[in-house]
Amino acid sequence: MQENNILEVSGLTTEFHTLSGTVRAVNNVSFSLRKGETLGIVGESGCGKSVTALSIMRLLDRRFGHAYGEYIRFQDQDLLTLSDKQIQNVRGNEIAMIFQEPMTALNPVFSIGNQIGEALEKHLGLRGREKKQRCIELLRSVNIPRPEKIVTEYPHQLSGGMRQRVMIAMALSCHPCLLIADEPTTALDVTIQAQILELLQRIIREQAMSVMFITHDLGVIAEMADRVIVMYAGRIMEVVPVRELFAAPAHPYTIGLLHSRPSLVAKGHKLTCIPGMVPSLLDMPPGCPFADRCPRAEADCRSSLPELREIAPGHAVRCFHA
Amino acid sequence: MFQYVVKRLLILIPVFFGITIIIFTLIHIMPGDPYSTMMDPGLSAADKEQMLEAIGYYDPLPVQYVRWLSRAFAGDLGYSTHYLQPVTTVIGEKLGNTLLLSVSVLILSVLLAVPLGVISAVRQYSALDYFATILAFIGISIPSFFLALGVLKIFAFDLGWFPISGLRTIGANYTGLRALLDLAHHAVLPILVLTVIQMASLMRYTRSSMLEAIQMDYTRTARAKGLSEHTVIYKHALRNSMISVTTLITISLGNLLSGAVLTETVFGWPGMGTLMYQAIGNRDYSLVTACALLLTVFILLSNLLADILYAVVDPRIRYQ
Repeated sequence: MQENNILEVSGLTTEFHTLSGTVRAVNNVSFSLRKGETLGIVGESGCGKSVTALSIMRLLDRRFGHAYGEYIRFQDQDLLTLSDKQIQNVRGNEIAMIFQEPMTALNPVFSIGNQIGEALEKHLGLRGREKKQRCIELLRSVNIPRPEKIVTEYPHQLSGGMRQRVMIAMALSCHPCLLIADEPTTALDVTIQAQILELLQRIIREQAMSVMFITHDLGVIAEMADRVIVMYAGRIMEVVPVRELFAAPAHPYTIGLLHSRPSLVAKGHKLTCIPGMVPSLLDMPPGCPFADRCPRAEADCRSSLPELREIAPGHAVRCFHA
Repeated sequence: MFQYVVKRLLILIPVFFGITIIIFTLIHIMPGDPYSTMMDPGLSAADKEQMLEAIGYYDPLPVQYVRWLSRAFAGDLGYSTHYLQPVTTVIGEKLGNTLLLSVSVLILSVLLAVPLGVISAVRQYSALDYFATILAFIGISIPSFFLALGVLKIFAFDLGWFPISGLRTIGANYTGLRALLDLAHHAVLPILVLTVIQMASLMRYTRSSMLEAIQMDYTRTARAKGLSEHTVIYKHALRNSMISVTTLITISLGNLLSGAVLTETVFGWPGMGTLMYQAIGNRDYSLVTACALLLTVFILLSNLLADILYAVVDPRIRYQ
């Protein structure tokens, strides 16, 4: 493991067993995350970004799916080979996760304090008054007003934005060194989105955390990420520093994504979109998964899958013709 | 919470009067008069009319209703024309027998079905799950009288482990502990049959509500916190699935009194089910209305209990 990396994923593949066959939601994905870096993962729904995160946390439902690969190195352990007990000590402690839906991610029948306190008790051994005090401090640190009162309240008494703050407080409770944020603002109003992003930025800066930030919103990526991975149909298509993503995108899919954003400048034009459909995960073409929708596709794209190749320092792309 | 309970209580009052009016009216618009069997067949038609007049049979229905209800509140539920005894005495005897069965069945089926349903969900598609599922389908699909007959044939007739029917050994005149053991011995088979049937649906219900809770987002959040699988399942998922299971159990309390006509009949168990069935056949009006009144009150109270327990387990209800 390279010294300045906190996470190295190699050859991660995640499969789900469905009635119509085995589906590969994440296909041979390798990447690394540097200490203190915010790595954005973008792609459309179903491209495998959330499944990648759940695979790293080993949170997949075992009855339906499983992840395998060469390794997922985190600090000096391989997350793929940890026992259930060992991975439980990592989760919520060294790696924390924030989910997309604050409305359903909190348990409706336990108080906020109870739910935050669980992690404090499990990983830090806090109990009683000390635990409650720490919960209140955490709520205050995510700008929740009247934390002494909120700590005894239940999720249904809070708004969506407040609940997401609670989720963030919960994730931060044990000072994780890696935070996985899975579309943390997607379900929120635009104004609340901005507040939550600001809060996350402040916390990431203050605690010098490494972050995996999953989103399909390129605006959010521009705001948050240092480096970006673009995923499509379970594969990494491009790895690019955030500046270059917008200045010099290389993969035709990335270019398509950037062109399909609504723009305030060019009013009155129809939104461009990428023609065609994502291929079914059940029936993947042998070549590049994007070939059928790609303006630059040639015969070679349909017969073989291009490798991820470096075209500039820190900028790699999976395309023959980029 | 207090406000919530008071509100629930107040709602019960109009519901109670509504139901009693319906029961009373329905029974009184049935054709035929219930007293003819009580009177001397040699009596002249004019004398009969006079006697009916005297007991208020021709009074307007509302007057009769008020009279009946105020007497009922005073504890007088009328006189059974068939048993020639006060209705309260007749019911009292049978009610005890039915409660003995139904309370044991309720306790047993909850104690067995809820844990079995939970384990079935946690170990979905395991051998135990399949076993419990098959058992549940047997319990749901076999008619109670058939199961009762089968159980009687095997355990009472072929093996001779249990008595065929009745409450106690006739002619033995046991007292004290012996009498109690004798009663228990007679109760085993009916309890067994009713428990199997009760358990089946409760177990399936627990299983599905647990399965639902296990795949909710908050269960994933609990895992993401690093909690042990035990805490995730038995704290986060179980507590949520118990909201609906508690409601189901409490509402089913209402059935405790009505008895199980078929099972009681097969086992010759003198309970409320048989009593009500016969009372209707005998045109024993006071008895029928009294039974219906008793059931109404009991069902209303168990619904109230369900509402209260619902608020206890679910903060979303409590804080409305």
